[in-house]
Amino acid sequence: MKIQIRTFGPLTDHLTDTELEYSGEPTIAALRRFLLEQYPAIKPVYFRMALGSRMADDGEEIMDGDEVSLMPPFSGG
Amino acid sequence: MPGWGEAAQARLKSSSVLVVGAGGLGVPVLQYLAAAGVGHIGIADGDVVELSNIHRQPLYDPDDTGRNKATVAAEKLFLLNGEVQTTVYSYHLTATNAGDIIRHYDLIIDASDNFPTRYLLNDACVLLDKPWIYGAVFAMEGQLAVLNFHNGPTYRCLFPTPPEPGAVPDCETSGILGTIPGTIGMLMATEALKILAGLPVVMQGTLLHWQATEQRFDKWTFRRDAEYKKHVPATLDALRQTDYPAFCGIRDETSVSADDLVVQDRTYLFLDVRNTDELPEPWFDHLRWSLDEIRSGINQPELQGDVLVYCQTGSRTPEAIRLLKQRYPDIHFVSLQGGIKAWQLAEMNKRYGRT
Repeated sequence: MKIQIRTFGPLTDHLTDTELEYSGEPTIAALRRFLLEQYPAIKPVYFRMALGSRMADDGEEIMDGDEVSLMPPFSGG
Repeated sequence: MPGWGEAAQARLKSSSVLVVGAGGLGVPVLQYLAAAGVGHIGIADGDVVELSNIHRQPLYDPDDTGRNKATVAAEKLFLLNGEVQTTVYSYHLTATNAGDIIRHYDLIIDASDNFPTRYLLNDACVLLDKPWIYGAVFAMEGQLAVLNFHNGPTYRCLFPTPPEPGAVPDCETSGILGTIPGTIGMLMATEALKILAGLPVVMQGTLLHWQATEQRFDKWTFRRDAEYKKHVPATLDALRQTDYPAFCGIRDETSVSADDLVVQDRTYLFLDVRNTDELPEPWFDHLRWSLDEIRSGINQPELQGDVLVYCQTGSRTPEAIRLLKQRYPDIHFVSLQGGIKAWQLAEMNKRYGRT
């Protein structure tokens, strides 16, 4: 299936917005594992994953065409 | 304007807001809340104005360099609106003081620049049932959320785990356009005015993200997570005992607390950067070299070993250490949190067996 990935903050240095061909287990947690394997440089950056316009939990199911956002917290002020 | 009448304005005047951090985010928040007529504004910041801050903190001018930000900000707000009551906390919010400060305010604004303060603020606000507004910036991006509002989600529901130290650089290390925190600060002030005046608020449980390069705004909703409370200390007393920098993986080896200093047996060369007429007189061997003298390059004493730098309350030591490091690159400088005042208190507490 095709997944739209959007990245933010320090993640964009290692992984830009992209359309991903993904054939693994269709859950948020499995997609995270896949991304960390494919792009080890993002490992030190903690991020939350959103499905469409809401933050998603690990067990949530993803479907073809979904937009998944990787959002780290920021600290600057 | 619709929804804004005398009643809303009166609500503003009778309300109180604590702004934690008077830097890039805090400056626009402070200016607009004061101008709008918020009755009481608390300002907490232990840092001093530096020339390199002013591009993103234009409330200050070069003459303010070296002075405490919260103190200067209160003076400038008075000029802007003499009817606003301000309370200055010229030190950083810590686990020890957070509860006693936050309890006096209706709404808390997080204009801080680090993760430990954000988790501390969150937990104190949860325990005291106070709404707070989160804002933060990174390079050309910013984030905003209204948290713990009417039992809405908290910071821990959004980001349960703090990131590894250094994984997300701050403005000092990565640099930032002044308008980025300025814009996020304005959005935070807008949410604050909506909450205080009783206008509809939609940002609770919603993370707003702004990307300045693309001029794009996005929003994501998030739920209150039933698990989050397990990680908030059970009481304010427990919160006081929580080491938030350690929780965020930051072990600060460049500063020491007064409580630790009086029990540890490390040897330091003590360097007093206060002016010569400031009391208390040190009760230990020390070297006196005031911040003014350090700035102007008068004297150049010989330093060796670990040098513990202190001032009255800790507000002058960051600048002193920054300057000292340039002149003595091989010396290890450590700052005393809370300055000689905190040390004196810690000595008394130790002598009389209080904790």
